[in-house]
Amino acid sequence: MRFKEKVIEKLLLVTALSAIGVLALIIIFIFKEGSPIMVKVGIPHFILGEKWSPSKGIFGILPMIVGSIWVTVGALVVGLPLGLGCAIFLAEMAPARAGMVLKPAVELLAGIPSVVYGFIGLVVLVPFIRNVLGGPGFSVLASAIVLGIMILPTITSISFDALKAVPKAYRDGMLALGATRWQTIRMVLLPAAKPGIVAAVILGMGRAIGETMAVIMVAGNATIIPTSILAPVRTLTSNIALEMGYAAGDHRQALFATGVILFVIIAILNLLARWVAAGRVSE
Amino acid sequence: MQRGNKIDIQDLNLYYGNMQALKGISMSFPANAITALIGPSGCGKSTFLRCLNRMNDVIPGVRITGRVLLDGKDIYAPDSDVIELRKRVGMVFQRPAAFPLSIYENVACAARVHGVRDRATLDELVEKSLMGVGLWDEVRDKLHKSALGLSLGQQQQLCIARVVATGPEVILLDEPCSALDPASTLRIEDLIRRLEERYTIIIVTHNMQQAARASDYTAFMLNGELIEYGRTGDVFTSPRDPRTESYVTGRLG
Ligand SMILES: Nc1ncnc2c1ncn2[C@@H]1O[C@H](COP(=O)(O)OP(=O)(O)O)[C@@H](O)[C@H]1O
Ligand SMILES: [Mg+2]
Repeated sequence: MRFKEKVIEKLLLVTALSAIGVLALIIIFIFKEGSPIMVKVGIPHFILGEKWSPSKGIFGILPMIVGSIWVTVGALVVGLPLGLGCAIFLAEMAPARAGMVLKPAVELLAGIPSVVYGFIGLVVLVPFIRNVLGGPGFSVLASAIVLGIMILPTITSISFDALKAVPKAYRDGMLALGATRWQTIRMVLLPAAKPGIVAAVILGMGRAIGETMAVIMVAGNATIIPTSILAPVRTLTSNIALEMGYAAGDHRQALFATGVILFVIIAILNLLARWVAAGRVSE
Repeated sequence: MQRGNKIDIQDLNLYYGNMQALKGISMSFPANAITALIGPSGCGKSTFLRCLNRMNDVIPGVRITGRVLLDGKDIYAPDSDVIELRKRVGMVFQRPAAFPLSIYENVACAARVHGVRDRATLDELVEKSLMGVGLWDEVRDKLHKSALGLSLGQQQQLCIARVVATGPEVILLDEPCSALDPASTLRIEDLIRRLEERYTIIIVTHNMQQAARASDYTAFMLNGELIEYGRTGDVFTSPRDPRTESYVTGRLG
């Protein structure tokens, strides 16, 4: 018995270590492949350079950084009100049973492959924007809407859990003061659930900034800094996916360096999420 | 000292599904007095208290018959406004549930609920309510700090201040001291005594000394029935019903 326990323990340790090891190797690999070109071009030039022209050896990824930010913020502008509204409705207004059925239904949205979202965006949304609002249709707006819908399950499900975790005593206390349901939600439940909602936003942002396929299909992918929401845009992830197939030499390294920047941004978002979640526990 | 009745209850019955939790209760609560509700745990004290500001409305499967008159008007009548009712009949719960907001906001939100928007009015109301519960001096320097940093006793005072800020006529307290230490308990009792002048107070307690010390009238409940109701002195020293006597002495002795 003791022997069996020991074996299982060791096996689990090996599994854990190899998982961490693989991750570490990936990170080392990306940094090793990406760093030399950043040093060669100069990190400020690489990050702040406005021109991306691999054939001429010019590597500035500012358009893609700005593009990722535009698209991510846009996704939040679309996804946060919808997702939070949905969570509030399911947690506080729908009958308890309806909430229990509808929440998994919303979570199911997360299981749809991103290429499907991209495809619908391509055949429905892009022509719609082109015909109604003008411009090429492939745009920041199209990407924001597609991503906003893709992050709905994340935002809805985590905000829902945060709202459900608010002690019943707050609800009763507020109702006993003569508050309406909406006043109770606005004045006490939302502030009480705020750490969870912030965590939902950060995780949604992580999902939006990392999404590639759906964005490539509707974004237009031009390497210029977009000046309007109807202009085409290229994100950091799209940049890697679009050019990796044929890149070599400095160009290939510059794509790895794009990955390094993306990695840093996502690591910061994750740290933020942890920090916020920890704040919730200690309160 | 006849002061008129604030609340009249006529043949009140309450069912949780098929289980009858309150059985034919009829009684009147005099205005500007403190009435204590005592009885063993599970006898229906909290349920009864929640009937008085319709907090049972939010529990699914509850059915109520009978009448509860506040100043002569039935609060269960179809045209009765439950929001207005809860403003007039405030409630303090067993566990202090200070909201996870600042001390200021805890009180201010109660006033905002009833339409107070103006900042100066809010400031004044917050100060007055906190003074009313004797908390002002301790918290004046940290009004904008989280209320969750207060001691449990202070949080319970804050909850009372919150209720006071809505300008109620009746205050219901459901075992407000059961989560508190003896010193905080005395503070709250003291406070309740002072509130009596302005409000009609109904307090549930399972602490016999507290009931004897801090109330004018006492009602004894058992299994959803009202067994005895009278002046606190009479109920404790010369109870009419043997069940009251054994409960009161059993707990006191
Ligand atoms: N929400 C509820 N649903 C069903 N039964 C309940 C509910 N709340 C209380 N009860 C039952 O009603 C009876 C009275 O409870 P309660 O009013 O809490 O008593 P007390 O406050 O005197 O301890 C108990 O038997 C309890 O189990
Ligand atoms: Mg109780």
